[in-house]
Amino acid sequence: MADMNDKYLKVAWSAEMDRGVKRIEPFVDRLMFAVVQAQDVRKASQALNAAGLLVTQLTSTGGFLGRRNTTLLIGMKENQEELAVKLIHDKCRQRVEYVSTPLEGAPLPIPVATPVTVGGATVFTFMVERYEEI
Amino acid sequence: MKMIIAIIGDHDNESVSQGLIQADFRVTRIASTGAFLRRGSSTLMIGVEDDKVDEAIQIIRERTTSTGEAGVKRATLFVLNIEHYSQI
Repeated sequence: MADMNDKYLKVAWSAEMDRGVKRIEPFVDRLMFAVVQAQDVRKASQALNAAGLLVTQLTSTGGFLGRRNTTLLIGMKENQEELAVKLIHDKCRQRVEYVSTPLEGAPLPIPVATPVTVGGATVFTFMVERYEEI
Repeated sequence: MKMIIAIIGDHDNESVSQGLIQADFRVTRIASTGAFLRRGSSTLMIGVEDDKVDEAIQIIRERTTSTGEAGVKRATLFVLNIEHYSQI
């Protein structure tokens, strides 16, 4: 394990020197999937990046409203999990949106605005058995 | 069963997927954008038998090309354990 860490330290160091960016050494043992609303993506991934976490964005669609959202893949160390969840919690708000649904029992489909609570974020964390950068 | 999640640059997408498919791996491609590869990237989900993980990673290693920029990774790989797998 010790030399594995050394290897990744080197990768981090060279990346740091080239970009002039300070980032946390990228040894990773957790992979988090966070499904966030389109409005919150930029803020959330900026905050995660600033904390030195590796973020990849996948465009996705929610099942219920069919709204566009984004799935963030975030690689991290076990002890960064809490921080990542906190950042996502801070940046992703729950909102009430209105969808139009037909009025029940009416002879004609009269649209009625129905409130639906959307967002926050959905977070899944997986254990990473092996992590590599090529 | 393991799942390899490989994040690679768009320019390597075709070559890596072809290589994996030729070697009988099942690959799902997702278009993505990455903060660390910075431009368009592709995320590959590859379901593999436990003893084939190294073979798949070897293919990815051989088929990814460097952009020439120093400090830019060619690929990021996560290997996850899969509790249940079935093809229907």
